[in-house]
Amino acid sequence: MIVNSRFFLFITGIFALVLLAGCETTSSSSAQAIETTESTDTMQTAPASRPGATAAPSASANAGASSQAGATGEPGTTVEEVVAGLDGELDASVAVFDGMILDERAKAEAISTAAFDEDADAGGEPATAEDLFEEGDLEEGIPGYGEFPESATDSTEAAGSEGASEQTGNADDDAAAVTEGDLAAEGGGGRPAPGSAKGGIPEDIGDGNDDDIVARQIREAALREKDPALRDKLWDEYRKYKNQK
Amino acid sequence: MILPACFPRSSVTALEFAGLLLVAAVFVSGCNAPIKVNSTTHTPLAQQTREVAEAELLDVGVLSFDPGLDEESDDDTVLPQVRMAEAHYLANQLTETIQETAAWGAVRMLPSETVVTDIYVRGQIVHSDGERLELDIAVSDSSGKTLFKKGYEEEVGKYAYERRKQLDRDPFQGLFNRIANDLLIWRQSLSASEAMAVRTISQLRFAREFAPEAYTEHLQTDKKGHLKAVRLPAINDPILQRIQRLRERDYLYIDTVQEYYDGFSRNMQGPYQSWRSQSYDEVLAARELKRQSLQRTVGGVAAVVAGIAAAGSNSGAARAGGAVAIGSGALLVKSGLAKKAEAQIHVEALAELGESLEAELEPRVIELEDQTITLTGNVQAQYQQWQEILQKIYRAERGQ
Repeated sequence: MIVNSRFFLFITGIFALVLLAGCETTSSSSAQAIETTESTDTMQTAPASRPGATAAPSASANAGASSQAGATGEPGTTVEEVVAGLDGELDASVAVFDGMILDERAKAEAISTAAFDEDADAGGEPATAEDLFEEGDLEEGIPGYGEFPESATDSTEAAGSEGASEQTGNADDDAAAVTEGDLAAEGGGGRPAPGSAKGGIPEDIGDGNDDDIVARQIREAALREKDPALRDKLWDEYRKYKNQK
Repeated sequence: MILPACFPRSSVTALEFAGLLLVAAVFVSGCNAPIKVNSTTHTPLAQQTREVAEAELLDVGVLSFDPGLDEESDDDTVLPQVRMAEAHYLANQLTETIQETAAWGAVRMLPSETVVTDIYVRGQIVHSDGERLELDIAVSDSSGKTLFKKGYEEEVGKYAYERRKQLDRDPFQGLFNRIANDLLIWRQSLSASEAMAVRTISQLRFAREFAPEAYTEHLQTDKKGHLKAVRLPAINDPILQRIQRLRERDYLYIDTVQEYYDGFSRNMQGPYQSWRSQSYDEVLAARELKRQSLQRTVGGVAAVVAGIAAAGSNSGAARAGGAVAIGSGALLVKSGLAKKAEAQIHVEALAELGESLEAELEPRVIELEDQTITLTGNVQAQYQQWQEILQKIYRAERGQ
């Protein structure tokens, strides 16, 4: 009997616990149901408060309108108005970007100009390069490569840039002189203008980019030669050699 | 006389063998090859002769090269800051060269791989000094497909550093020309539709970055990991029109970065070319001395061995000759060691030159990277803002 009554009490206790747990679950579901209802109310009331929203009675349109209102923070605006607002925001941001880029480009240009001016004040790149190239001559004993014509060296020291120096040096000679304008037209003075080199490079002579050592030696000799007759012979030799190739 | 095991015993007597060794020693030690002179003939730059329709013009983006410092970690003459500077400088030289082929749209250096363009050129510096430049180049398109990978190497002669020849041309211009020419050959093999397909992929990639919700499905990745356009947006797609405006801003950003690189290259050119020219001399001198050192040491050792062999001969004259050979061999070895020490002086001079250039370039590299990183950071912040706005517009227009 004692065992039976204990068993009865145990069962009753479990039943009571189950009942209690069931009550808690029910109350939590009720709370959720309220939240959902409140949310639905908001979705249903929002379109009604916006002009033009009634024209789109579908549930999805209502949802979209609600979302747009959230995006702008202003309930009661149309899709077009929202997009126009965002486009304005994008335009403003693009304008800020353009300003930033303009500033940066101005800075970059200023740095480049300053560097260029520094070079010019210091006598240009050749001042540095020349020391180097003089020190670096390895071609002692190779005829035609170890020295430079006096005039070219002098003018290199005087001029502001490598290409310009050569051009100026060439202009010292009796052949066709070249002006600064011509240098600019040549793309920064990188290469000598036809006929402007020392002694004058004949029209049919190329820029020598593809010369091998022998051709280069002949070319160098022709460029250095002051006697026009000899110079012409050297150019003839150069032509012959190039044609043989 | 006891001869080493390797000595021939039957047909050649010890005296003959010693004589041969002596002759070999004299030949080896006296063999002074002339200083190597390379021709400055370089590959000319090919140019696009046929006009390319604007719709088929592909933009090229060259990324700063990988300095390749890992590969050369054991080389004392390679200094990190110099390599870092070279990585920007050489890439910029290549950029200018590719542009000159007149076959492309805009050719620009890119601050990072995230920038969208049609063709990407990546490079790694394998070796760089005044004498030799070696680059590994990889070219891919905006779909991620590798177009070609190739190693390029060029050695220049001293004439490349002559004032007259130098002009505005890089001593290694021939190497850049070869890369640009290979790129041009690839471009010429491309049909109009293929070129336009690459452009479309670039356009969609850019659009996808700014409006992922709108354009994710337009691109698909195939099994090889290459992107493929599977859908095209409508011509009057309003989001795409907005994105096109933004892409123009992206071009402005890249142009600005290009100005940074141009300025850096201009500033770097003087000291860098100086370093190259000096380094050329030092590299050649060090190599020549090492060669002489090796020859003399080998010749000296051979003379000593020959002398020892001759010393055991029955002939008095041979013994006397052997003694002379031993003495002269020892002198040769000593001379070889002296040459080795001289070579080391040139190696140290190379390192000093590098350090001097490094000191000069370091602030410029830092300035360039500071400029680029700051601008990129500001631009990325703006891009993020644009992405958010576009997302809102897309959702608003879709009624979401």
